[in-house]
Amino acid sequence: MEATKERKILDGVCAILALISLAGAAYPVVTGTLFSTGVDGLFFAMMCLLLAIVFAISPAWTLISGRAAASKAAGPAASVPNGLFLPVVGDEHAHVPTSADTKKNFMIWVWLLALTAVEVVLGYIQVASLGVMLAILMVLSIIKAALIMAYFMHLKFERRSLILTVVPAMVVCIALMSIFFPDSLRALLLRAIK
Amino acid sequence: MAEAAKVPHGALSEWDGGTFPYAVGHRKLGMWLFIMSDSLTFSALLFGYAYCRLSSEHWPTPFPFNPSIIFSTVMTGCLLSSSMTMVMAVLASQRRDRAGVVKWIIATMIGGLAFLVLHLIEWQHLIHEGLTPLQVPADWLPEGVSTKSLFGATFFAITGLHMFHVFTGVIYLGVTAARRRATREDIEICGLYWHFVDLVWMFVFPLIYLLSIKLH
Repeated sequence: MEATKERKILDGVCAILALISLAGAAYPVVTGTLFSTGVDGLFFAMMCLLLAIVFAISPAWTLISGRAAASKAAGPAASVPNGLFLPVVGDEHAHVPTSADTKKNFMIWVWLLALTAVEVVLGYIQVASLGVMLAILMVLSIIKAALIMAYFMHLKFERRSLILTVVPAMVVCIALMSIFFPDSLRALLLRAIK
Repeated sequence: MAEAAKVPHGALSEWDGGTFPYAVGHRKLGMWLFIMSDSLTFSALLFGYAYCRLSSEHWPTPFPFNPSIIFSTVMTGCLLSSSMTMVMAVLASQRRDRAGVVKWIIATMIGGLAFLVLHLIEWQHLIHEGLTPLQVPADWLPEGVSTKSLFGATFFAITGLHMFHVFTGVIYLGVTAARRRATREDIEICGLYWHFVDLVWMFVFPLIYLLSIKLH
């Protein structure tokens, strides 16, 4: 499609209006009034974002169709190959999944749902104090996270070098953050004294 | 010649270059490194939440079991189920079944969008009740206690960042499903990201919601 002068002017005006709308959406975020006026600030920002999208449609359309026309002019488009047939690293160890794989993952999913249900039921009957509850919930959550990483994220079946690179570093770094707990309790104590 | 046979073998050791020491492609390794750093971001926020909660004398526990906790349990179910459909998409990709991949990724995106919509409804309710980052509604705390509390700040920051991850994840899934050239590895990588978003919620849900149930 030939980009006429009118078309260019339209796209330019729309692009400017889209930028102004974006600035309107950013305004309550920058000034911190996004939440202070109840839902209004949030609503205003959302409306501005919506307007920005509406205004951006025309320039975006021109850009995309211009690019498509350029690629068409460059020559007949080669049909895109189906990427699923391209070779990937690790192919020599891969196997085509069977219904047993589906069933195994399904059972993991059922376990995850069951553990979530246990957590919610514990929250409902409130058997324990907050501290004990926290301990139980953390143990259950860590089990769930381990199940997701091992089976859904396939980490259990990767080479051991990858597991040893990813997991210990992550666990140690997260555990190191516990250094803040004594300070938080001290802050509570100081507040109580005051 | 035993010597001659040994030298090229030694030169082809896993760590000498030209091979993949982790037996995964560089993109997948990159996603794993991103997941490591992102998990630290989320755990820093959760530790920050624990800090604020431990160091304040009055921390509100405002969520009644019915409807708040039931609502967030449904959200958890949506996210867990979308993880399962993502696994199905990856399995379909290993069968070279492109139609299956697209179908299951769309199912995953629907799960993610359902989570987003439910979460935004919940946010809207809380904002209506008067929750702001620096203040909680007066009836959330015992009488005479200042309503200045960081409850809102931690709640909106943690769930907001998680929501942003779900949002970008839905876009990422859509782009991957639309790309005909996406390899099996590409689909597995966006699956890794999606499972990670699910994994984070497995910590946010108990810590933010189940530990804030209104005592009866």
